[in-house]
Amino acid sequence: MDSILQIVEATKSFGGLVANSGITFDVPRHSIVGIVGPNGAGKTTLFNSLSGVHPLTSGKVIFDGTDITRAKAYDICAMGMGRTFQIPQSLNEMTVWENVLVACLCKHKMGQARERADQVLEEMGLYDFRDAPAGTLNVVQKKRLEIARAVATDPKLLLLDETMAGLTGIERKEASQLIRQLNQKGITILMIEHVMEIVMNVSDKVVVLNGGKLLMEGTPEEVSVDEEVISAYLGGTTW
Amino acid sequence: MRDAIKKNRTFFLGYVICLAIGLVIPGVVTSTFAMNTIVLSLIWSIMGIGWNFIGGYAGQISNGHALYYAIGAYTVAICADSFDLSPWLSMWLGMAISALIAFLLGKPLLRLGGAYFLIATMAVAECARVIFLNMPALGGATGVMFLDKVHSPWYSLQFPDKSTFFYLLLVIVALLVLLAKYLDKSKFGYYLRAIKANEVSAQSAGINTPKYKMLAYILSAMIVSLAGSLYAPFVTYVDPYTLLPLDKSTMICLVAVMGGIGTVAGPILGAFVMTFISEYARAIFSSYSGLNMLVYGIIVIFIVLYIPNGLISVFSKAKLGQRLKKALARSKGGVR
Repeated sequence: MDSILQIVEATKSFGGLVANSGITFDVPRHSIVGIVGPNGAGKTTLFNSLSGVHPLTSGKVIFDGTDITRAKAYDICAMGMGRTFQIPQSLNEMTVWENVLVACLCKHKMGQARERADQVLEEMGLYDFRDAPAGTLNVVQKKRLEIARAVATDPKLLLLDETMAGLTGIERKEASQLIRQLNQKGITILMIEHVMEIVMNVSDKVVVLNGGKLLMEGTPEEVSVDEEVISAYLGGTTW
Repeated sequence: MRDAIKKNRTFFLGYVICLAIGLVIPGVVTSTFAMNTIVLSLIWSIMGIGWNFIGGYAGQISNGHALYYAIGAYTVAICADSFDLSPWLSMWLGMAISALIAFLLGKPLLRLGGAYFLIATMAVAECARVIFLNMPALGGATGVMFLDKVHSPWYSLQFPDKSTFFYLLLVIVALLVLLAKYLDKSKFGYYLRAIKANEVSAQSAGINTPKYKMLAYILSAMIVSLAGSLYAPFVTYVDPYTLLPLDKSTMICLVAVMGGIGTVAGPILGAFVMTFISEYARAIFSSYSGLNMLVYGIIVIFIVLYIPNGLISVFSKAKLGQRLKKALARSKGGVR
């Protein structure tokens, strides 16, 4: 199958701490892939390496046929990989519209970007907060803005880092609908998620990390019955 | 163009009113001291506008921009003194040299953030002062005198009356304000604000943060250099003590911060208020040495404490609206 992202033997260490070690998996184009794993499994570290926040210690990342292992975050974004942060990193002093506009400017000229920003806000249900400073939004709205900003860069691949955490049941349903919609528009989605019911419902493929290593990958059905996965989640040693 | 004016009606209204006031100032203000202060305010305005790009918009607080002020002033002085060159030409040379030096220094400096950037820029300006002091080619501690009695004032920019020079400065400041206004709502302006708000987030939105910080730094260095190039023919004398004292860089930063950081009109308002306070405090308290600085300091502290968003925030629409609402509520309460 055609894959948009290939991760080969990805290893990241901070001094003596090995956060990711030898992780290898593919993300098929137009799919939704979920990454699960207990706290400290190295999920966000992997995201940071993929999106260029910090480079891998060793290993390779190939995005849409190009090696981006050492590329800078802004170049990776321009190539079509958008991401959200687990802790929303909105530009608090700027308005919601300006937050999205800045992201739109990645691919559009000023005039078009203005229109596109309004369009994205509309799609994401944030239009009512258009002129509010981003710092005044609540957590749920900030998470939406986080996705809006990533979507505004017109990504081919979208990395979502725990966008569901802290949401209520209804909000989760809305959010998973949103993810499906984005996927139907042709955006490949790689998401970190703790909420198992969402991951199992939405994903085409699930990757389980534990203790910085790839525990297994497979369809949601395969993963949910795997004994190692169950023990990782329900307790037991992680190394 | 018409569209832009329509969208920013308040701005252009204020712009035209300020220009109109500017046109009549030389006719109304008779005191030489006041005129001198106004001219200095305009020069400080240019510096404030320049510093605002790196410090205000991009949020990289530089405390070393006196360096570019000095480069601009020295270039004009030396070119006039040694090569008979008009400031009209040498100001461009000064800006080019400033841009080059800003590029070279910016490479390492802009990797630093926050307080580290501030301290490093300060150190660079201090180094420059020592270099200017000890380079005979640059006049050393005595500096360069270049009073020009040969060429016409329009060639040397050394006008016998202050009003002509005032008009010249008014035009330059007016043009720079238009530039700042244009950049304020451009891709460049939004990118700089995004960098100030959150650099990691800005990068993940596709902003090449090192590149845009560098562009902002070079632009601000060039504008501050221009201010130096205009100040030099005004006083016809440059030396390291007046151009590069430790507090010069802080003052450049202060006019923008006091006026309203990251706003178009803020630095100009700040420049006028700060220059007037500073010059008049010096004149009024001249009999007690140092008292002027004390008064100046106290006023600065009060502005920072009570108008933390800068003097311009007093005029902002939101604030005015709030006050109007409060007043309305009060009047309604009174009726009840």
